[in-house]
Amino acid sequence: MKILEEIIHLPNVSGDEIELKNYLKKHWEALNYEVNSDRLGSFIASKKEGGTIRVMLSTNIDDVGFMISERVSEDLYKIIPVGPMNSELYMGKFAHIINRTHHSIPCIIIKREEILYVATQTREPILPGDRVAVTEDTQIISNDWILVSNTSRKILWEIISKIEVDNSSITPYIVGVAQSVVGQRGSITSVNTVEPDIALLLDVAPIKNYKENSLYVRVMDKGMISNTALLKQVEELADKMEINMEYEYSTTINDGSLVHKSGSGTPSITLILPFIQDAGLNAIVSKKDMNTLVKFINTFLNSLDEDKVKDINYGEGLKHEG
Amino acid sequence: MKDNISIEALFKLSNVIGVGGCEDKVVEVLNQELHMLAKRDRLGNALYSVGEKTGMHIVMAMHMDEVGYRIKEITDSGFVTLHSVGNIWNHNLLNQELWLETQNGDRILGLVVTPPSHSLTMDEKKQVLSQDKIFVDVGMDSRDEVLGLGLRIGDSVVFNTRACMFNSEDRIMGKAMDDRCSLAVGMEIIRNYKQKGTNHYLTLAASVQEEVGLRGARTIAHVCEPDLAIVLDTTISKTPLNSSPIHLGSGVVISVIDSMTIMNKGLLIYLEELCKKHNIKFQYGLFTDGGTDAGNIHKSGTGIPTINISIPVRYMHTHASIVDRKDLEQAYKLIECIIEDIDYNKLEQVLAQNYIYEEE
Repeated sequence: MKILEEIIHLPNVSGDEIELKNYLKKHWEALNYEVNSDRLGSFIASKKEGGTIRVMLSTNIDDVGFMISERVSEDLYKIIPVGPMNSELYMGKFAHIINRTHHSIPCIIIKREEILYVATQTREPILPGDRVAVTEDTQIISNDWILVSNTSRKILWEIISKIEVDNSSITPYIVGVAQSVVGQRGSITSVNTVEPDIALLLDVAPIKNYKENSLYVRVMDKGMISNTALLKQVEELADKMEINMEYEYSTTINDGSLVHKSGSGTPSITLILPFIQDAGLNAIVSKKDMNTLVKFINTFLNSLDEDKVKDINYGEGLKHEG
Repeated sequence: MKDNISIEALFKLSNVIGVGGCEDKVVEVLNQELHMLAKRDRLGNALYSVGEKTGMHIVMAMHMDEVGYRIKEITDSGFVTLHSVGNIWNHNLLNQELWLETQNGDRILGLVVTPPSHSLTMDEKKQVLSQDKIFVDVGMDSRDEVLGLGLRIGDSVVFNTRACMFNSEDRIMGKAMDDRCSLAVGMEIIRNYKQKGTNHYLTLAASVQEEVGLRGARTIAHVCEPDLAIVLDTTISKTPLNSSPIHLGSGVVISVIDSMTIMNKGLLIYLEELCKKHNIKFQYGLFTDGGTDAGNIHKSGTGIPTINISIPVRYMHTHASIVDRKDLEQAYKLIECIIEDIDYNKLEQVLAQNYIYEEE
């Protein structure tokens, strides 16, 4: 859990994700990936000297949080939520104000007469627009289980960091979508930048009737129905790998909602890391599930060829010919 | 302080009728004032460009449309019902005078029907009339008579308010300050650079259909593909009946966040520094109950760096809103400073958040 432990404390409130981006840049450049960004700030790393098939593997790099809206006194500031949330869950929590120069100032989130504030004691300049990142944490329960803050998708970067592509036909594009939790904004700009042939989206979700060590695949949610041909290939591969596959539905929305219908369309599917005992701000995650996802994604990517991509793309072939 | 904004032109802009989808009269005013013929995109946005085509393309987006209505139905007894175009609270509507515009451009005076207060129960008095109970009296007794005035279903309806100074040399009142006051600023910027020239390629994109979902902004972004967009709109300022921290006359508003856009942090810092350097009065906007054209522009294509700034306004989306000339001047000054200061290299530094403003 090295990656997760290193990034869990990095602030990444929507629209100010630079710390996490810088970390990911260093990580992927060391793995011979070229790192770029779209003009909205999404993180894009592509394997150097890859093949003609473009596969986008994405999750978001941002998180819900708060923003300073007004100074009340030297030690008290009004805040507003950034992203959808139940703000009640955050009352009394530790957080950090990330100011203009990215200094991190510890604070506490409080609520008085229905108005949200952060309280702190500092001489550092704090201005409207500075982000307030809730302090996140992760803890190992045992060899198989971990606790993690569930507001962010940072745990998914632990999975993505273990992706190893040894398939000269494809170029993997590792995409960290900026400003996702405030409306999937970076999903449009990143997919327009990458123009992938296929998109695999990673997300987390609380799961009822959980079955350990399974591959959870989202069939549909509020914004996307998984590509039928892609789903079929995922089913066949899971079967071949003797991985139990579970289908998931959601009434929420994720980046796939815009990715799959951008441009002339991008065959997309969402793979889910199950959250167990989802308890408001925190959840329990199985390491076996994480390993299953890594194993499956690696096998899937390494088995892709032009014919398979053509099948998925309704016979249309690749978007970018080599 | 030098006055850059023509109040006379602002009055003209505010007085013309330009409900979403019917903005041609606003374009006519802009054409006349700028002595230029707008290039129209296929949705109707009006584009006025000056400068070098090879230069950095900066688009200033301000919307032409105003909130208003379309005629929904003409009743047998000669009353007109309305379909709203944009967000208007019916509380503001009762007994108001309206202009109903015929297809040939004639303006027909109308009066919103009000229930007799004597016969209302206490409960009814506390309620706002629902849209299906809004009728307009145009002085006729039958559908045929109304049709005889030249009115038909789909015609535009706006508030009957002529722009004027509001008891001071700075306060301006009109029906469509959102967003014609911004257009007045953008128009003067184009007029200025048309005369003196610029190395940039500068476009005033007077957008359509902002009030019904930022529709024109989409096509502007697609057609122009700018290097930088500056969106100027209006935002709610403080009155005794709201808690906005924005004050009329206290400067241009840097919109840090709204319901559709979060300002790039590098651009935010850049604007703060620019304002400080040039003594531009500014306020912070963190208004999450609405958005501007920036919402669609900034996430178009592979992303467009977008500056979202606003002019404070009182009584937005009502028959009479008020702006302060000083805020318009500050908005003008800020946009002018951006145009004078920015270049490709600086923009990249700003976006990477490693740009440090150096005092000259």
